[in-house]
Amino acid sequence: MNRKVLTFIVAALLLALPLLLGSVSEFWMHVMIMIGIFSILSMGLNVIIGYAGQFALGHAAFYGIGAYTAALLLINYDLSFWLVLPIAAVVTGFFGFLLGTPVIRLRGDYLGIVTLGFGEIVRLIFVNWVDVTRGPMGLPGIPAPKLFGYTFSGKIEFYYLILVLVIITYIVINRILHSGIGLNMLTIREDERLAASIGIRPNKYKIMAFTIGAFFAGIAGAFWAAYISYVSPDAFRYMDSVNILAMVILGGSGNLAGSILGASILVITPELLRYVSEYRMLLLGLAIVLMMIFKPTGFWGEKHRKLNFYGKAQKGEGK
Amino acid sequence: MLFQQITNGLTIGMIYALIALGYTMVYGILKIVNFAHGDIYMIGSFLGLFFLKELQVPLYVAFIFSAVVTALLGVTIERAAYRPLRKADRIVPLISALGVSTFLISVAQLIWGTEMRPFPTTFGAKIYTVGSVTISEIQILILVLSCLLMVGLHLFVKKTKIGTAMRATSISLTNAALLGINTNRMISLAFAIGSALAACAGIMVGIYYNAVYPTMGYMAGINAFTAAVLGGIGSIPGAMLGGVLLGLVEALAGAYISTQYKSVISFAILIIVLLIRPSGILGKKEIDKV
Amino acid sequence: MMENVLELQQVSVKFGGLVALNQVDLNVRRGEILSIIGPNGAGKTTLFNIMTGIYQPTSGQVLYNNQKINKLKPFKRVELGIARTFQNTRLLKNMTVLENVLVAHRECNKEGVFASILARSSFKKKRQAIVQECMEKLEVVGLADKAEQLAGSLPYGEQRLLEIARALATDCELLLLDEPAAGMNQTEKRELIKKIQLLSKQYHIEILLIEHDIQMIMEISDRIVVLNYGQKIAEGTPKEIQNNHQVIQAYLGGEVD
Repeated sequence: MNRKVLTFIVAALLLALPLLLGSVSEFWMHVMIMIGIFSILSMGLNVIIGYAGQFALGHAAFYGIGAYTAALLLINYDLSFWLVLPIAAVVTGFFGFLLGTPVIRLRGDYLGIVTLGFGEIVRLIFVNWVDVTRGPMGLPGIPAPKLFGYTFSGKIEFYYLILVLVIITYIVINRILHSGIGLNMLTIREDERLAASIGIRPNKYKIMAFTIGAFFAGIAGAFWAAYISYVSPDAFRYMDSVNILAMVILGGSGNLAGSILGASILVITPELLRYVSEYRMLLLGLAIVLMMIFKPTGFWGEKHRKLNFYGKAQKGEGK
Repeated sequence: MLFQQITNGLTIGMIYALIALGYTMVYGILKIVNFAHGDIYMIGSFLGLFFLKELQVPLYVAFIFSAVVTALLGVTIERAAYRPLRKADRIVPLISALGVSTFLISVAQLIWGTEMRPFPTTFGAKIYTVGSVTISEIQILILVLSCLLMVGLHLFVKKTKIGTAMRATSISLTNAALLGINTNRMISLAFAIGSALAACAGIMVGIYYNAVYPTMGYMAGINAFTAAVLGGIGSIPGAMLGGVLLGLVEALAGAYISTQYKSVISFAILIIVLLIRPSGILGKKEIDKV
Repeated sequence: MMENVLELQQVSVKFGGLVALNQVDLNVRRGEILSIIGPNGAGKTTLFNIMTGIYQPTSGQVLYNNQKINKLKPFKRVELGIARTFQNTRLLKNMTVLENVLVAHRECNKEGVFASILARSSFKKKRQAIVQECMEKLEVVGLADKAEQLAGSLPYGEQRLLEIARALATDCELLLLDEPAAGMNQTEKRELIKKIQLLSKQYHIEILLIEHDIQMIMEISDRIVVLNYGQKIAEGTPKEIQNNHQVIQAYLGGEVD
């Protein structure tokens, strides 16, 4: 009862937010939208790191692939945003599959460096493949989404869109994780040898995790392209990958709602502490180390994972 | 042209080797990759800058001071960010290293700004010509000093008592402890030596390219790691071999294929090695007991 | 019918210079309980690792139902029907007892992405059935009422029982038990013996057992294989082994009454 009431209140607040903030804050609307984007990114990364236990850096590369794919499709072909969004997601998911397939054989540290390398190579391609991406100059003039003839023009429309996307992302990933797939991923993470000994195919689930994480990063990227109407390689650097990773860690690996909270914290804090923005990276680095020493499972951590989501067995039935 | 590329490749290869040694020594004992090592190298370079510019010491003094301070930094990092996590899940110290890396980069940015800084020394600019090859003074320094350092390390590890203890620890942590070796001290030593070597490499790079910047550890770190893996991670001669090889391949590929995608080439090497022969050229295959 | 479910032909395993197994021949017949005994380091667990595909034999063949399976990966062998428990219990300590069993269930491994997202009622019914079957396995080992507890909170003896329940959930035909009685007291061992016999006779599962408790071995086994320094030194019924001088010398160290 308590939980349902809380959810209802939060939902109502979120829906009414633009009205509450009024015209005061284009700025805070932007912050909320950024929280939305990064929530999707960190939830996706959580599947890879938190559930499948793969130390994958370079997630920003998927974000970038989604953004550039969407940007190129929207600019060069007269396609509707609503078509481009799933296409970008699928394309990015495919890249996740491509990256995942060779690297999952690698052990933790090596995997980290290789995925980092992938992230760097993708960024280099964005910067150097000038014919297609216009290099550092980026791709401006991305048309805004149109819905039933109405063109998105202000932050409010984008806010509601990202809200919907975040909710969809949460529900979909939640359902996937609260299934045999999630259990198997956790098993692989805890003890891969054991997983193989009970019939789980480790490679299948690791690749699945990469694909899912990339897919949703693609959604975030496509949204970003349409929202800012300009993409450039600057938004998809190594530091951005570290940022997303930090969001997952803060919220707790394996905890989806935690990822949203982690995203909120890491998007809001630098805005609130504008005057200490120079120290932001410093504090972030420090925070990561301290988190690992004192709270490796995040503030909210795995204790909140609903145990046995399959449902209890009906005792007395069928025996 | 070819010999020029070889000379240049050897030069940068020596640098990679020095940095790679840090990775390989730590990995040899703890079996983890110190993600922050590249940034330790960067700090070493900036410290050199500091000693040369602010304190105006002679070059060789800058080397020594920087090496010592960086060694202390490496040891401190190990104590603070890795030692408490030895018993945790494998992924935890990796993430911690990431945090350390981020921290170091931002410290450098805060103190020295994000722009590239020139290295304040006139040493090394003189150029000699041997046949069709031009070689500068700094290149000679790099080649000579690196060789000296590596030979020194080799002798240390093979001939001294402490060096042998360190080797024993990298073969088996538990056995070494049972033999009465203070393994914590060995680990600190590995970090100290690796960091000191990286600092020397950092100063040499600063002079060579006449530039230092806070994110220089990133690419150098990845390249050095590739070199360590190529030569066989955990093997000291392997790091040396891998470094030189990688430097040569990079120089040749950069000249004959493309300079823009040079880093792609080293990544490609890394990925190929990891997929085909993860133990590298000189490394041993790992067998884990079930 | 003396049909062989599992057969090892001249299997040798060498790790560099170390010879773990030396030309071992072994077979498990349909319906039997076969025990492997031998001093520590004799190669018993290595045998299991060869059977389950964790190691590849340096030479020799592994046949399952007359199929050569040398090259098959571990998860494939589970799909064929080989399951095992571990000498040092490998449980997922932070998951519940029921979850530990669920992950081994075949159907749990087959759940698809889209089916999970849509979560139709047919899907949910399937899940209930899976849960039900896993609960049944827990009831066989007597852990059904602890289904919701964290696996790490179980006493050691029960953890070993949980491993058995988990192996059962894979719908196995051949069960490899690696020292299942370790850490159990006499009462628990009695129960374990009953359960193993139940699995064999009622569930028609072939059982391959590594154990050190000689009394238990003698009581429960149809045949015994004795290993020493990676070689098979004796094979036969309990009575035959009891009287085999080589075995007594190498392992039992005296007469067994």
